[in-house]
Amino acid sequence: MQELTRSGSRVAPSAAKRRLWNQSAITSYGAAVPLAVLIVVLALASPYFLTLVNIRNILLQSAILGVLAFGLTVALIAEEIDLSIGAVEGLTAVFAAILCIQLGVPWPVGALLAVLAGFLIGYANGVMTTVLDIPSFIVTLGTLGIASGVSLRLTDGNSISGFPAGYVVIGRGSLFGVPLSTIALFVLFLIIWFLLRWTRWGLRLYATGGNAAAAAELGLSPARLKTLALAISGACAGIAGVLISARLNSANGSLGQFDLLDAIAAVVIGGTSLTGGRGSILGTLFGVLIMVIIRNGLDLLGVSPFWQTAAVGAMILIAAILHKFAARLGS
Amino acid sequence: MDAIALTNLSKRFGPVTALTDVSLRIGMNEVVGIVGDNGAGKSTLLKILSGFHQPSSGTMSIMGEPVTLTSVQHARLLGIETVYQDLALVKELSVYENMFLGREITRKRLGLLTMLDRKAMRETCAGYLQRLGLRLPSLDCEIGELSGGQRQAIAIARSTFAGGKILLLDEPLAAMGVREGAIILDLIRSFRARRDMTIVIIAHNHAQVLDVCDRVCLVQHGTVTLDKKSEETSVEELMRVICSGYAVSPQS
Ligand SMILES: Nc1ncnc2c1ncn2[C@@H]1O[C@H](COP(=O)(O)OP(=O)(O)OP(=O)(O)O)[C@@H](O)[C@H]1O
Ligand SMILES: [Mg+2]
Repeated sequence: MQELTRSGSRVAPSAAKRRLWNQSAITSYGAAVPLAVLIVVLALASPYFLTLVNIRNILLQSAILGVLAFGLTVALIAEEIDLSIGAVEGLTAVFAAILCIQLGVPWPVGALLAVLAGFLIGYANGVMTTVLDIPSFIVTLGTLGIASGVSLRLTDGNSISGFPAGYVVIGRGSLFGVPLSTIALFVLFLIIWFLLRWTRWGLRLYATGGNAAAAAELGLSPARLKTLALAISGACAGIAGVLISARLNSANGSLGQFDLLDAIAAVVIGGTSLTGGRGSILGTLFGVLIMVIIRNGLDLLGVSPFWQTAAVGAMILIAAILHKFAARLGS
Repeated sequence: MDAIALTNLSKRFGPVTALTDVSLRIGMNEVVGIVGDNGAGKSTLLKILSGFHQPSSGTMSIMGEPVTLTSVQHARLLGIETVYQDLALVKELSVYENMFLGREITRKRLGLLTMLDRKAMRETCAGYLQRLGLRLPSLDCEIGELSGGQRQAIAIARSTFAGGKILLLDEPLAAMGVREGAIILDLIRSFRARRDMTIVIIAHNHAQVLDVCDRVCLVQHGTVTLDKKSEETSVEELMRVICSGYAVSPQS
């Protein structure tokens, strides 16, 4: 027994080796390869691509899509989908505009309340999904409809403009040349990365998405985890709503309505699985950059917006095929 | 002291009598194989031990204490761990993550952040698996990348690592090839050699059961009809008893 304990403290030689090339590495870093290729190709094709102005432009555009896609990644890891993110982004933007502009609420309070509203909508999505046992696809489709209808009604189809100067800085200001919204994205990235990778909660979220029955059997609470995942997705949509309205210095009822597809595309390109239990926030960040850079590059090369939409669609398919292929290689 | 003692245990499911008057004593750290035909009542017996079913009549003691198990959780608190067919593993998570799921090792950072201690979990897991003599390609590979036998072995290792003292396995060798089965058989041999775990295994392969178990119990029509030390019986004897059970008895 003594001897066994002693050898037990050593690490088994074969199992202790770390493997670099495994499934989760593919999920996290897989999209870095096409991203690098894309950057090299565009740098060669257009002299304007790597200019500071253009890079700043790419960063600005990545911020809002990134925030949305991060939230969606969390939901998808828990094996839930949030179709309402674009609509909630629009609704929270309108909500912030009404609070700050029409009701004269101090802008930091208005911004926080808008994010809180996103969180609560997401929380409601989560409760309906888990307590009433309705698929999140249906629940969030319903929320999408309600949120976009309400924002259109609240604005009567018009724009509400003229935020306080401090609010506008969130969307337009920069620190040492880096846009504030990019910094916000980076901070959010760190927070979510930490949650997913280094907390008990994150590990259990992956477990819930991968095998909810097993998670329940081990005494975890899948329903609570899924609810919180959808609430985080809603809060992220709220942050996106604040960022977009601050950048535009206005809000209208149709804001964010095209963002859902781009966010799904970014997340899928980033390697997150629609069947739960697999996904990485770093992969999503790569996916977001790929999406933004493709649109930016095609703009620079003078490709028509119609073709751009087709190109994005093609990207989703190519990404899905590559991830499938890479997953086979990995196992 | 016996790890498990059953006295006159019966179990009825409505009109179906699954177990009749089963009395069985399993010693501390003994490895016992349960064999018998389909529908004989083996799983029912195991499910009573695991707290899943409650017996219709009869009594049970665990580690010398009379108990009435009310649930699987209750049994678990008493150190009884069951590995089910579905294994309850998350195939997207790595070996060590599965091993610690629900009882993760954490450490405080900067006094306020409670972080996963992946290094400690990984090393503890590696040490434990090595102690069990279990070889895997890597602790970082996902459960989904492992073979059926390796998965079953991980599920067993997780149950015993949880501090279980009594391990219940219902057909851990089902649907497994020779090589896969060997992983599980080796694991059971390793527990047996260390003498720190009471194991009850249901299996259909008599030769394997006689090979890895201290004792074998034959269950027929809800009763134990043969209960012998492995070295005192043989595949032939088991076959004979099972086949004679099918002879038309003159009374009926
Ligand atoms: N939940 C249940 N409800 C009703 N009858 C049951 C139930 N579980 C088992 N039985 C019956 O009890 C008897 C014994 O079943 P059990 O599953 O214990 O057999 P077994 O020996 O494990 O068989 P196998 O080798 O096929 O797994 C069978 O007649 C079965 O139909
Ligand atoms: Mg059975």
